[in-house]
Amino acid sequence: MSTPRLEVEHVRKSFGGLEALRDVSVAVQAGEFLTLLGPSGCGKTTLMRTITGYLRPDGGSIRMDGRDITDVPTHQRNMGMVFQSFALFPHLTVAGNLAFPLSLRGVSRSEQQLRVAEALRMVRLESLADAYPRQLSGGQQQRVGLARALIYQPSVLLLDEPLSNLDLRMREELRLEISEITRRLGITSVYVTHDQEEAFALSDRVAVMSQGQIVQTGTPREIYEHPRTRFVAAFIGMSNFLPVVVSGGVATVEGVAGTIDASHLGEPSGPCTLFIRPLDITLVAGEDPGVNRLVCRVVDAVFMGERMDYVLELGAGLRLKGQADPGVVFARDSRVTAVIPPGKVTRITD
Amino acid sequence: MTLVGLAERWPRRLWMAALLVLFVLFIVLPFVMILLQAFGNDWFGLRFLPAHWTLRWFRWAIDTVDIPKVLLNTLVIGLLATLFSLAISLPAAWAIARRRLALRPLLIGLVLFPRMIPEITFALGVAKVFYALNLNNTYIGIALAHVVLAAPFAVLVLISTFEGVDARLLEAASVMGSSGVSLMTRVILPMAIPGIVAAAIFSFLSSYNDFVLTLLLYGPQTTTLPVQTYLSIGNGYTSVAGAISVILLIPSMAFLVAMLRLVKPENLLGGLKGA
Repeated sequence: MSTPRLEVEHVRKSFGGLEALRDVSVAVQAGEFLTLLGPSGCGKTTLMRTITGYLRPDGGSIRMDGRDITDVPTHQRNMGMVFQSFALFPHLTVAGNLAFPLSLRGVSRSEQQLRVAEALRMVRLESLADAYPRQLSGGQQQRVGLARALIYQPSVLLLDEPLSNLDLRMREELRLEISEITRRLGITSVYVTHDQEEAFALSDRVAVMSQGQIVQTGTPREIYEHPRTRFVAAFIGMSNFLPVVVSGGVATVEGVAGTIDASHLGEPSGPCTLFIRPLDITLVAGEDPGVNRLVCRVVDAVFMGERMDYVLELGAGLRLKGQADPGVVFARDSRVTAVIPPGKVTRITD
Repeated sequence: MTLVGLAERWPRRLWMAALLVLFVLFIVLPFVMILLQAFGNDWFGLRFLPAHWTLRWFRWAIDTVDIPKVLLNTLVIGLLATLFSLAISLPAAWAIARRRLALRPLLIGLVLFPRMIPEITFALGVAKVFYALNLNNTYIGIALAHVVLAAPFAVLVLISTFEGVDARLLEAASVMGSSGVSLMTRVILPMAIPGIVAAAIFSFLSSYNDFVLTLLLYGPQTTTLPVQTYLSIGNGYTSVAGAISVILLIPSMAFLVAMLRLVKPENLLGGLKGA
């Protein structure tokens, strides 16, 4: 694999006694779209700011195309950034905002005009060149923000929760636009969000962050289907956790009729936690225990339109969430068998 | 509208009316007196209105005390004092607003100190030093003395202006490649313009209206309007003094209007979202 465009290596950062980043390492390949996904306070914005150089890491290094840029000041890093707050200059028009980074780079007036016009066309705001930011809607302002971050062809595009100040409809529209534009330009992008849907829709790879660490990196599919920790599983989509005891390739849940095939989960034996998505569970009427067939009782059944949501009790107070096609409805308190496809079970750590 | 509602509304209106009357009495009436004195003949406060109206006091003011020269002195000294005041206040306010200075309250106290003591107490000292340096009866000397009065207000106004410059915009500018001089001249100062204009107005008016310091430093070439007004009263020409006062008002007003037109505060809102 070639040298990554951007590498973060063992970066640490504390504020007072609070460790915001604890030994974070991540690499972004040229042209890749990586998202840092995590709840607020997980350190993703702090990581972004160490990448721009606005914060200096206490330890570790940042590399661009193999070159150590840890000590390079922000204004010399040639990065583009889209801000949650839009951060447009209120005293400049749209065209003035777009020309600002160009004039800093000594681009001639005539070339500035050409590139501003081109950038405005890219985000479909040609008619608003002479408007001031306050005269624009949130979505328009953020499109200016995107155009301004791209107009000087930065080596990396950073996007810090760019959609969270927009209403739902505008959010989806702009998300598509970001996806389209970044892919068309082939620009290396790092995106920060707490929204799983945004992360999945945009990214080649997602790095899930929690408490100042990256807990798992992978494609959206890998992260969704094979979360490595309970945090990742719970943060992304709906999930069930089953405390089991594994012995001889078979996992059993205490006090529950039926077993789970654990031969593909590997060693060691002993107690562990298994994870399964509610949607992967198939419900069958009646008690029919066996391998990957667990008997349970329907505690609650809720009609959700395109599906039914069930709460199932496996005995001993252990509950599972299940989802099923609304064509067949299992009544409350009826006994059903939850069929669990073997490939859909993952062993996770707490 | 119920009776109770009416009863509750009326006292409020009465209060407003009373305040308006007081405002007129305290602020507007003195100006009216000056106008009557400047434009009136045969008045001397003995009648309700002057018996005749005249422009002769203005004629006198222009002929006998060379008002154009006095006006020019006043304006030049005011503009110099404004320049000096901004040159000191801009960096001082920036440092106090943006750097985490340990002695911040003490610094602000020191900056304000000259305005907390009577002008005459330091005016004598300033005059003594300036005479020794031959700075008396010079534009620069008097303007420098006025900075003592102008800078404290300017620094205060500019501190809050710089504190109001959004750090997120500075971060954005620096990611885009701006630093040092370009950050200051292309981002910070343009956004601080309303505050800078306010500081300039305060500085100019502090100098323009100053009497005590100027009185101790002026000479034949540097008489200013307030000093000339005083001299005319001393010579018994109260009506000429009134005419000079009216002349004194005109540039003040023009300056204020011009400055307020330059500033468009609405241009400095928007472009940011969220707290």
